[in-house]
Amino acid sequence: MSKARPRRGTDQDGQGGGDDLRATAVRSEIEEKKLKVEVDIENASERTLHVVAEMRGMRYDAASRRLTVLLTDAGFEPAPGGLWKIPRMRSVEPNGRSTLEVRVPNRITRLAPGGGDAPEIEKIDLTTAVDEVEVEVAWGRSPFYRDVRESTSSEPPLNRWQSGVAQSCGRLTKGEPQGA
Amino acid sequence: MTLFIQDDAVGTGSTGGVFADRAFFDLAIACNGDVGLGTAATAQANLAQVQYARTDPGAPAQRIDALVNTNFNVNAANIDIIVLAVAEDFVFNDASSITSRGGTALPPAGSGQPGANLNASTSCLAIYDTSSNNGSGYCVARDGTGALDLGIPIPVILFHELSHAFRIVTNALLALTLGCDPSSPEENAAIVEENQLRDQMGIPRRDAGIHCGQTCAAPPPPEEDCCIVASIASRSPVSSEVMTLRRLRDQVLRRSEVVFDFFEHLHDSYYGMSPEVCRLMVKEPRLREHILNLFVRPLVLGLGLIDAYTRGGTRGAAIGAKCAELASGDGLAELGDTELQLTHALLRGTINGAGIVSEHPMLRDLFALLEKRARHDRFVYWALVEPADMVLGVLVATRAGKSHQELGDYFAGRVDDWGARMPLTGVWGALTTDERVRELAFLEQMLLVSPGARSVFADRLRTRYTNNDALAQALQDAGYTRKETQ
Repeated sequence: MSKARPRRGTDQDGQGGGDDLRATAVRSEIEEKKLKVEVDIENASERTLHVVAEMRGMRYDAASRRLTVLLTDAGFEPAPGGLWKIPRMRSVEPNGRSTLEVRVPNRITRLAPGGGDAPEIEKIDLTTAVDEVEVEVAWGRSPFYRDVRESTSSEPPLNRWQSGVAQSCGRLTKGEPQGA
Repeated sequence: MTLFIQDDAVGTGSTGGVFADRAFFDLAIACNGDVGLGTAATAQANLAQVQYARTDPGAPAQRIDALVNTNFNVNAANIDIIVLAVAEDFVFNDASSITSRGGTALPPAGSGQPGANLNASTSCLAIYDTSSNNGSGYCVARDGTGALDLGIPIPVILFHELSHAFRIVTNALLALTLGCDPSSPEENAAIVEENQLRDQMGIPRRDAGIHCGQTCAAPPPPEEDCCIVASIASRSPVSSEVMTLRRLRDQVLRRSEVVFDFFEHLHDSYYGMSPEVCRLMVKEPRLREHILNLFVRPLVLGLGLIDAYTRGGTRGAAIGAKCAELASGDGLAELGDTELQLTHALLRGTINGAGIVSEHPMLRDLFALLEKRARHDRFVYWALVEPADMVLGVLVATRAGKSHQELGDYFAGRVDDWGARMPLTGVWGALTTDERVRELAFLEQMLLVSPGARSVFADRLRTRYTNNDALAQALQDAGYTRKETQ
């Protein structure tokens, strides 16, 4: 069976939930080895909604000095890999509020563009390079569960599940790092 | 000589993002400590060339030997494969974190293979996480059970990526899809080879058919993300039955679009309310015991009995004997008449005397929640409430002294009636005629085992899709209806 039919109630079947779930505020601060990021979320609907509760990726934009913390797989490319990690989820009750807290590395290590036979590595110290932190949170009407149909879809499973992505941003609080 | 290890001596920022010593250590593990493994400096400051004069006979060592001592001609510099041992701060150029993949093998930039866009070099890159998911561990599917409780050691992640790298550089990459269960052909092949190293290390094998993983740390508290059945059943005598039903559900889901769509609707309704039930259980811990005895146990046992009748083909007195056995088994035999009445009241929404609910005030909130969210939802009611209610009916009939044949006839009648009323979803309208025939044949096997049930189901489909000749044809082809003669 080769099926890639959209999942019900998702962006892909045109029945995504719009702004049923909203991110209203982001707070972030530098800790000893991490950045602590909190995002307040609100469920404006009459049913429980489910959000991705862990960091899936990070994007840094040097021009705007903005770090985007991704609790979504949007834009991720397929590649052979060790595993596909099922994300940790959190539920938000009808008309309820919750705060997601994630701790992300305070540095990004990545391949620099334009390498030759061997890539160059670049490292970005987020404690000095970032002024603003944005968070994108994928959400759906049920917790993520595996679509066990054999599929030819090239969309990441999380993208096929989600009903929407909520986002918000806030300034990075800088000061003395909290240490042991 | 084509396998290299990279460090971050060249590049911007401080050192410490790439760990060459760790990569060599993990290769040495794969080679079973073979003393023939070594490295040599190269003209490039950030690359060390791996050298290997193999003496170990094992399959993993043979693979490393092939990678090191074969010229794959990936690029003019003969730098075919580069190993990068990174940590949790590594992100790919699509912004994905290494911790969402564990590791990856990237084909050379411009090669057109999956992942090539993430590669900035002309070499194949094997990149893997040495932080082990930031200390929390990656857990993957265990061979034999499929449970996501099998740790994946760091050297095994590297060996998995080198398996991909080998097929990349030999232009033998298999089909790659993004679903993790079932795993794609390419991931299946890499896991099969990963298991060679697992065997060498004396650790359990991974299920090659499942590419999913999760964080190994303790599960989140129940109020965060709760399936009522799972959270209660996981520490109860029915936990193995729940595991069996889960596997059955997943096997069925693979084969039927109709069933998959049904579960989409069911999950949509169920997960719109189950976290609230779980929060009630956290607030009132005694509620958990009530829900286990009055709902979860009857539901789980009921679904198992239904499966024995439909898929298992157990009929007549034989299914009646199973009914009697169930009724006298642990948990249900102790259910008193008052509790039986209470359960009926909860499941059917009938107030059976104010005294019952007032004797169990903690059930008031649960009753109100079920009334608001579950009772009038046809998917939740059909899939979760009615099977539990069937078991209660079996209990009543057994206590009334019915024979095995009578019990069997009673249960068969209930299941046939229930199966024929399976909620219909819009997916039927989207299927081709051939697909409908396959789906109907599948349902005949799994649910609609009696001609009467199939006839009722057919009538419902025809009512929903009036004047649909293609559907009528499919029902005929599947044997649900007969061709009308002039």
